[in-house]
Amino acid sequence: MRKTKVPLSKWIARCIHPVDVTALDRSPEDIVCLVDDDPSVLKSTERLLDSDGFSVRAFSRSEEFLVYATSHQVPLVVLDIWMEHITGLEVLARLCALSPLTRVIVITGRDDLAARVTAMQIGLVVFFTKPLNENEFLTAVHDGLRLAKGL
Amino acid sequence: MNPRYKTAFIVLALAIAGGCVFLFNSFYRDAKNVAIAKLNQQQLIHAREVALGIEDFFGTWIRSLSSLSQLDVIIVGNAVGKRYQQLYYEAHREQIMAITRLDERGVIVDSYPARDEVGTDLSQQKHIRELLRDHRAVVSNVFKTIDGIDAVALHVPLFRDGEFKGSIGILINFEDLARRYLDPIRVSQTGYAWVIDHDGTVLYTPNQAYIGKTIFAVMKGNEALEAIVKDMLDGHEGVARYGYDKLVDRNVGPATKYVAYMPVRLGPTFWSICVASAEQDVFADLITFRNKLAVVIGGLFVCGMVFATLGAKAWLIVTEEEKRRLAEEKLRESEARFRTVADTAPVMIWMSDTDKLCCFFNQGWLQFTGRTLDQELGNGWSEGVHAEDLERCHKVYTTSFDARDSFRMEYRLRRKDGSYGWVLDTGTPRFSADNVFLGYIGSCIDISDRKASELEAQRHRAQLAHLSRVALMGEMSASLAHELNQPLTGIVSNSAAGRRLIDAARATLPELRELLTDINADGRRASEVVRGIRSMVKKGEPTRQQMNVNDIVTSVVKIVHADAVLRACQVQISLEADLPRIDGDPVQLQQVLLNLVLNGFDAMSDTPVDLRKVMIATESNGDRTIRVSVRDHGSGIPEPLRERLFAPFFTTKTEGLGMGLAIVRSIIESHGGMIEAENAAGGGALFHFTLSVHAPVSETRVERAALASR
Repeated sequence: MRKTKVPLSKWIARCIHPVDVTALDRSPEDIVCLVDDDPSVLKSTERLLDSDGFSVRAFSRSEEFLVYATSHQVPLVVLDIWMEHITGLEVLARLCALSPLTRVIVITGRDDLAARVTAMQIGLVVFFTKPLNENEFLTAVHDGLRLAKGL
Repeated sequence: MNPRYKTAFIVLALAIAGGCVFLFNSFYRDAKNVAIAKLNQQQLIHAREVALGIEDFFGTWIRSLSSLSQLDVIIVGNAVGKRYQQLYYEAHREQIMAITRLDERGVIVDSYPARDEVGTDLSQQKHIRELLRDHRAVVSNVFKTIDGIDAVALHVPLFRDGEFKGSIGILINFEDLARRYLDPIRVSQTGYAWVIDHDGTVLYTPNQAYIGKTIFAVMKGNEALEAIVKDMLDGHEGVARYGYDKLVDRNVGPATKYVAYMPVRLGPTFWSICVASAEQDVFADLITFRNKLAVVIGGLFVCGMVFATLGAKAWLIVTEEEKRRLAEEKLRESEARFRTVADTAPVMIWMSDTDKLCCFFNQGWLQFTGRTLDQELGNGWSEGVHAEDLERCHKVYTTSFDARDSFRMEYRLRRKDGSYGWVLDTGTPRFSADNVFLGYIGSCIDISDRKASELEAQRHRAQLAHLSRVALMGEMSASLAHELNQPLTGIVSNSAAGRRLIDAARATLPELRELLTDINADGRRASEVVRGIRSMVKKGEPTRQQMNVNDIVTSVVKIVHADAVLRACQVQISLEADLPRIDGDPVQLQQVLLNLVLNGFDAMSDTPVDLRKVMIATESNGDRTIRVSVRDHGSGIPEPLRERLFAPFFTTKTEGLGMGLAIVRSIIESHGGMIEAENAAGGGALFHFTLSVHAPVSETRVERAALASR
């Protein structure tokens, strides 16, 4: 499973940003944004990222994240696309307009093909289905951050 | 006493009193008439006596003077004649006051004893005028002489060879005359006589003031008296009466006088004598008679009343007795008829007295239970009631009995063969015609078959509701999976993070504790979701429990949350804070709300995202019902479909059984409520249903008992 998913993300990343991701080091300044309206998912995901040494900025409301994104540089965001108020896809669309270079990792409750296609059309994303496979997820976050730093 | 009899009694008393008054009146009137006739007769006799006496008196004088008038010496009027006259006077001086000789012109030619009046012309005096005209004996009116004595003059004409030569007359003391003939007249207390001459001049009356006046002046406008006087002046005799209220100018009040009158023939002229007495004299004599009569009639009245009362009472008693006998006969007959009807009716009939104890069971009942009447009487019947129903049965019976309310209850009653059959018992209070409570009467029908089919139908309904719930869960499977996935994600991520922290030796105990707490909470959350799904999907019998509808609403909001997010819909709630609790089946009511909310979501698929709202509201209606409404912002209900909305197998969706709303309605109705659908003002559909705060207790309890018995 890991063999199939990671090469996909790496493939995507390398296609667009041909940078050696392994050369990039983790840095405390590299803040990962996390958006999920489910407090339990938000908290546990934050904890998972934290356990791997990431600095996490968590948002339970997508609007707050969008406000944050206008004034901060966002290298990477982990986004739930099944949220109230503004759906994940909408956030994605606005974020792409706002900060086109931000790496996006979408986490979703189910593997919704329609949503995946829409997301692909909007911008560059990596998809993960809940519950998260920790290693694949964390690797994807590492890769994403490294790519973002490479720019 | 009965008011009808009271009236009859009063009428009777009045009739007897009327009879007595009539009797009294007629006796008294007769007596009065007799008394009046007697008085009249008496007065006539008096008048006649007086008239005859006066006639005789004057007749004697006229005859005496006539014989004197034959003497030539008198006619010539010489000394001898004068001497005769003097002698005549002397002979009668007791009665006459003077003797006078008039010539043919009415001039006094000789008078004794008063000679100084000679030469006085009397021709202007009334009676002298008559004398000179008619040449017949005349009697003058009463007049006062110079000496002040009342007197009457009597003149007899003188003729010589047929030629009128004057007259010879005497002056009679009228007072003497009156004293002799009129004064003695006393009839009763007030009776008296009065005399008028043929001109109506009052000659005599006890009241001196009237003497010499004309009677017409005295009576002044008294018509009855005028008629009497007219008759008197015509020279008739008779009896009459007149009323008057004043005497001259003195008011004496209304009074009546009875009179008898009679002419007094005095040669060519006449007087009329009248004897009068007041009515009160007649009545004075009658008073004693009247009093006695009154006593007698009074006695008669009392006796009449006593006998009438006794008679009426006796009659009443007899009729009452007859009525009672008829009523009893009727009662016996109707009782016999009732028993015949009751025993042949295809129902079980019982009756109870005011002490709640049963006093009658018909053949139908006894055949059903196979027991004897004596065994069932009183509280015996309750031995046949199923032990599980007995307490409820007693409670319904006694509560209704004390409130005098009709009741309906269903319970199991032991049959002859020992098995139990369901009966529907309907009891009503009995009242007599005059509204006195007599006890209860009730009828039972065997509803075992109906009960069985009811239970069958109920089971079908429950199965259908279950199927519908399963279908609902199917529709929601995606969102339910998401709902379950969220806590699982939490658990997986948290546990991975924990392991990593431990591996990296970064784990602190408080951090791990917090982490584990979160895992625990997520585990519970997941199990909650599973339990929720299970409760909806499991095949359970309908139950009843006290609950707050608001709790149902919030639980449904939780269940549909994931679905709402998935479909970008919002669920808003408006709950009344102090909602009364109701008796109901929580799963079924959740099913109802789920159905309505999911329908709302479906209806809003074409609605712009920010308008996709479903509103759930609860409120107390105040009339012991609760109103729950679910409103969406979809396209609303097309008018032609509204009718069929709740019909089974009606659906507008491509998937689904089309049973959702039909089952919703059957659930609401089984909770004693009703559901309606309409289009909300401002677009969208509005479903609202009511729930009774008190579900029909007896029915539901019966159902539960029925279920328990199976």
